[in-house]
Amino acid sequence: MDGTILLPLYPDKEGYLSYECPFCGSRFKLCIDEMINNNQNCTVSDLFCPICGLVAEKSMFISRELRNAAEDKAYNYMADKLNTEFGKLARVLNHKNGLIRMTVKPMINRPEKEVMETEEVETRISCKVCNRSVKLLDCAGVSIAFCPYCGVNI
Amino acid sequence: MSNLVEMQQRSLDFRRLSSNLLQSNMSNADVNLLRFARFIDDDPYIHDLLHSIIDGVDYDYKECFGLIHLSGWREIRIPVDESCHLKAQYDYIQFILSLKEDRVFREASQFLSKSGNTSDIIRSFLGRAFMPLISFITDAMSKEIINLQEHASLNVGNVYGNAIVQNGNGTVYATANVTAEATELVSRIDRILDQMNSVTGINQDELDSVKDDLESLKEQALSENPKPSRVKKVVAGIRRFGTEVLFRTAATLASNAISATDWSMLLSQADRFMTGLHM
Repeated sequence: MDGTILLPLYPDKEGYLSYECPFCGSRFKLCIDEMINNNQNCTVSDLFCPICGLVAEKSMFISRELRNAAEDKAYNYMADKLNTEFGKLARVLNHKNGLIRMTVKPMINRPEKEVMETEEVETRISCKVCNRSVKLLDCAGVSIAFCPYCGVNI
Repeated sequence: MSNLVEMQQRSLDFRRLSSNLLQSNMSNADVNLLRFARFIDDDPYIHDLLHSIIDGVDYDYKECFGLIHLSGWREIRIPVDESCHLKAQYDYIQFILSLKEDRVFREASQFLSKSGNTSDIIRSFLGRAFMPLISFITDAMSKEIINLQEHASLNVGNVYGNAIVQNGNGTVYATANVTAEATELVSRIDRILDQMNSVTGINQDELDSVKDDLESLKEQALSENPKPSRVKKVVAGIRRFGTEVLFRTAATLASNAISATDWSMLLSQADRFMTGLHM
């Protein structure tokens, strides 16, 4: 792949984006500002699930919607490239005196959806240790939550 | 209080180990399962927790994990009784570890998986087979942490005011009390100051500044007349250091030199100390 595919993110009004635990499937929101500052200044690359407390690489927590949107975008990028290249090949082969004829049925692009955050029933809690916050969706109770960044009980 | 820190650290260790197990691949699945099994056997709290439930339960793990479906794949049939389920998982781990090479994959490949990829087969199997055991232990530790926190907060007394005591002769004395809370705060500050000597990669000025704040807080905790404004200022400085420097710099610093739980306890003890002064 010769380029970078950019995927626009639309956080909620307070700048939070949804994540999904790869272990228990719980959904929660993290503040993009806190994530980006975190990325720039330290080597922390893991997140803890605030519900089950298990830890994995940050990329594992990408939400299903965002993952699907990224896959659709990548698929369309690939389809465009293939359509262009096979189109060129067909034009070369299909000249007047050619012995071989080539028909190209272009790949159809998938519809690209924008991942928009919705306002849901959510509880925002902050960690006293690292001072960063998390919004719990479908709230399972604040008393059993873990900080997604440092993993302590909050 | 040390039980609380110990429990929080145990919880972190267990969750890290469990996460590694659930994300295993062909090359490390056996090792991760062995480490997990050793941890739950060697850790006294988890050992006692599990054995208090599964000892004496008469249940064969094969009833849960050994059934073969009509399709030829093995299937997991979860028993209604949770203690039977926990015993089945514990015994199944022991059985897998008693096998020879590629122990986890050999078992995992007998269960139907959505993917043909070996890592996916292993992860799907481990998640379906042992996630309930992991959740049970994590929940039990969280409940214990809540209990310990509750207990710790109940032990806090508001004792930084002056108590007026009258003796038999009618003389009035004003006494200032230094409580166990202050003593614990001082010992935690000492521990963190010790740990700070092994911290690397943080700006020396920042480090000196927070050390000064910690020394000042210690001085105030030991003082007979701690000054609320001074305490408030140094606690703010310590909190800022944690947020802006310590846990923003590198994960290794937080985990190796100063643990997040130690820092958390320091802040909560300092908060309680401060609250006591205002009351």
